[in-house]
Amino acid sequence: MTLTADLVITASVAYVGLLFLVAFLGDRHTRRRDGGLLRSSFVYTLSISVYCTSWTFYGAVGAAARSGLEFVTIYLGPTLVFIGWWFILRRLVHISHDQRITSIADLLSSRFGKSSPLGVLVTLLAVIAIAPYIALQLKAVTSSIEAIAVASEFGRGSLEGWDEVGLAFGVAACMAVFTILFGTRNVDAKEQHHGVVAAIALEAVVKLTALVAVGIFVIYAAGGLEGVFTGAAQAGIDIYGNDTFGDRWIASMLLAAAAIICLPRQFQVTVVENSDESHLRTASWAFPAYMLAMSLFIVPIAFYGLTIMPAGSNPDMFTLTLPLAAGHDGLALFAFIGGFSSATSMIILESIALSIMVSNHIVVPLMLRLSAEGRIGSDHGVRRLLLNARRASIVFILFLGFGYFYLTRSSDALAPIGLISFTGVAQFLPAILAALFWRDASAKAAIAAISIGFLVWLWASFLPSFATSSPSVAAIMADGPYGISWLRPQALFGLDMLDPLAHGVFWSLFANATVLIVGSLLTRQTALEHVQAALFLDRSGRSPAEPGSLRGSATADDLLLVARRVLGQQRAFELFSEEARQTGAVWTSLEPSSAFISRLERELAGSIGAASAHVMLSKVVSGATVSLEEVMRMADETQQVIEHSQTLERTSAQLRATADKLEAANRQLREMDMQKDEFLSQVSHEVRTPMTAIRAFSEILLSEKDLDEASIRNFLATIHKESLRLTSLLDEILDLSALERGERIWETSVIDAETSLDQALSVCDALALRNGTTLRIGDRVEAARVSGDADRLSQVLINLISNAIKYNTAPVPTVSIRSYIEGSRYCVEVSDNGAGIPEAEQPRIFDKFYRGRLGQATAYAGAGLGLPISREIVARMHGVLELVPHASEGACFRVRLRLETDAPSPSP
Amino acid sequence: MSRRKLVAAALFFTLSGAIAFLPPFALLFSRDIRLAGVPLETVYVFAVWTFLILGARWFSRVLPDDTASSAAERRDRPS
Repeated sequence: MTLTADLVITASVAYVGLLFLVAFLGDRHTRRRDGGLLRSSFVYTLSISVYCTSWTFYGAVGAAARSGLEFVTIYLGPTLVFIGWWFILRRLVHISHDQRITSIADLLSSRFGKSSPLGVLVTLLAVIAIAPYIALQLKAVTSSIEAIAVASEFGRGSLEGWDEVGLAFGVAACMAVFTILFGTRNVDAKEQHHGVVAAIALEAVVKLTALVAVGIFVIYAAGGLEGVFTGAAQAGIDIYGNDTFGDRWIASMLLAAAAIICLPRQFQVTVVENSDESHLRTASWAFPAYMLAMSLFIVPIAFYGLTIMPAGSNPDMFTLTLPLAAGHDGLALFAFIGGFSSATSMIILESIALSIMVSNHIVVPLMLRLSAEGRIGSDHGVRRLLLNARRASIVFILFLGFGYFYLTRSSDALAPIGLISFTGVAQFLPAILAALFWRDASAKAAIAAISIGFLVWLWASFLPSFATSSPSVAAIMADGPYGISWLRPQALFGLDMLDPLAHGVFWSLFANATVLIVGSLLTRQTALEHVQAALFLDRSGRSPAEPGSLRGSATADDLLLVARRVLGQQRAFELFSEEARQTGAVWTSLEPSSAFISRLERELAGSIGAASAHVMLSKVVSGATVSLEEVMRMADETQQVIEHSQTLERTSAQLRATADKLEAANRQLREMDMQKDEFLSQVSHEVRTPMTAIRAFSEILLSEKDLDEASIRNFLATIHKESLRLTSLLDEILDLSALERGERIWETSVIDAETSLDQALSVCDALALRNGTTLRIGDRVEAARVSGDADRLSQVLINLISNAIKYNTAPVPTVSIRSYIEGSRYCVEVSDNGAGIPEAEQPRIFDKFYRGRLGQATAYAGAGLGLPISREIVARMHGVLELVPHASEGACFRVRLRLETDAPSPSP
Repeated sequence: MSRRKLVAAALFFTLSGAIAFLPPFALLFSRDIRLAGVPLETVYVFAVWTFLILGARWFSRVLPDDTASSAAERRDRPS
């Protein structure tokens, strides 16, 4: 058998055809039965071994030949992560199943409040960071074809005229076609690709057997394991390796541990394609065992190659060139297929994983933004758009890898290229760990941290890889940008004692983690972030009334429309029928519960990512989005508490006011009671005086038999007078109390006040005459129409005039009466030239039973009820009776009444 | 061993694996000695690796069932 370039290309195409067949059968198999072998932990473990790419197959040998045992760190890191599966991977798988996570970008975006910017950022950075890794695969495949072409005695065959770059371009184009055929045939509800996984598992077996076959061939050829090392030692090769366990060792082990979690394709196979969480249990030891088997023969192959191959041959290709050199063309072809296999599996899965991220986090959100108000194209529009977006992104990703290959084609080793990618994706690690373990990590901090980490990575790891092809980059490496030496990419802040890899890893992850922690401490989470963090950290499952769900009303029709567009007719109908069955409702009158809406959201998230699913559903579900809803609910509770306390406060204020009122009423009552007592005692006193006189005189009349007629008459007259006084006192008391209680019937009509005054004057004329008092009538009004009772008004005026006459102690007593109109008021003034009322007595002049000092001295002392009664009467007529202050001499009382201006009409 | 102790043991096992692979512990075996023709540090790394795989296999069988554990956790948590 003669190995030619044409033959290996044909073999490769045939191999890809076989893979395609396996994928096709695998898909059919899982669809018909429920998984079976393809859903076993065995296939799961083999699919995880997509981690071992052509970097392992070719690059590890080259790395072992160049720097000894160091290559093994790339497998030790993942080994540690897998044997510690209980702590990180189990959690990751569990959460991702719960939340229908489809990618690493989806995981971070979902955890940090379904943040779209974070999803976009992670997607973009992943695409950039993976470019070197894809380039590595292209380079490995190209180099392996070249190696066979060079060794072949038939020359380059149909490859004639193709240089390395052309060949790499061809490989990239073919890979793009394979991947599109493999990965984008349909959009699965859970983003699981059983057929692809089956093919990947087959490839895992192929590459392991190929490498082991080459390893056994080497051991056999060298005469045993001891022979390999002894031969190498004799050829002057340092088999011990100096400083194996240095900073580079630590850095690359850390990177590999991060990569097994953060690499998009590893996340895809380990987390997304996982169909049973218990499979992880098997993979926890089986995957490390697979890696051990892959690594076992790397060192012997490397040392044997170094020993027998001519100086200057590419150590990366020893796996292929050793069998070729020994003339074992069949083994060489097998080795080639193994290497090809490891490259294709990586490229297929990586581009599928990245294309899912690109379509879910960049294309769908853009589409949702561009489409007006939830009109999302035709029925199959979304699915077709998704598939096309994925196809386009696969092409884009592969050609980005090709671009990187083109720019760095002059560097020869494979492994360092892979490590650049690892450092890039490791920037997601702090955010992922925070997502799983730290409740307070916030989206803003995560975005800032990943951005900072990536900037440092671009500067300290990515940029230096162009140094061989770009003189300006080489200049920056040597002197720093614009000669700023502390910004040299591989000696930031003057830290030049570290290995460049360890340097880049240290600065990027240090900056990343610091920003994440400090940022989270300084920023606040939004309500949705808070809810999502709780969902991620409380792993016991979701409560039925899940707080992060969309609430509001949506018709089943609207929801079905969206579901059909994204999930496809069949899946959507299954979902709705199941819901209809569970609720026992008729299909057409299905009332979507909030639990169903959130289930639908998760189902959609499985296809288009959490953030996009959320946006899409919130366009349909009327009412608010989650964040608003959630905030409202929280605000509602607060509001209720506030309202409750306000009610309490109001009630207690009312109680306080009532208590005050009661107290005031009580005080008033007590006052009134006291007044009543006082009144009674005054009344008793007033009644007692005439009664005493009547009793005394009656007793005298009864006991003294021999009284003369005159005395008897005199006594009887006194008794009569006192009785009259008593009667008038009692009348007055009754009158006053009736007035005060408002019981007296009033004849309120429009009267002429002047008539009442005339009447009063005529009554008082006789009294004035008897007392020798001159009544001086001053200016009078002709007529004054006031509303009231004419007799009562006379009573008041008589009372005032008679008082003025009775208490006048002047030698020439004069009483002046005048009336006038002041504005709308009618006034009557009664003044005298007597002693007047002392200032101290003035405030009490209208009190009941109050008689001034002078009043008590005169013989005409009344009961002291005249003024209170008069005042009450005037008040009932809406007027005022007052003592005019500062009268020139004597006392002056004034009655003021409101004039009736309207047409005379008796008021009711 | 109780469930909690098993989980603690698994954590210790993982961490001691990391320590065994890292300096300064790994430096103990970085000597110019060959064992059956193979350098000591290579033998050491592969031996520890094998040991870790065997240990992980044991732990994968004894660590409690995932679904049961989450149920147990739910019970543990005061609600």
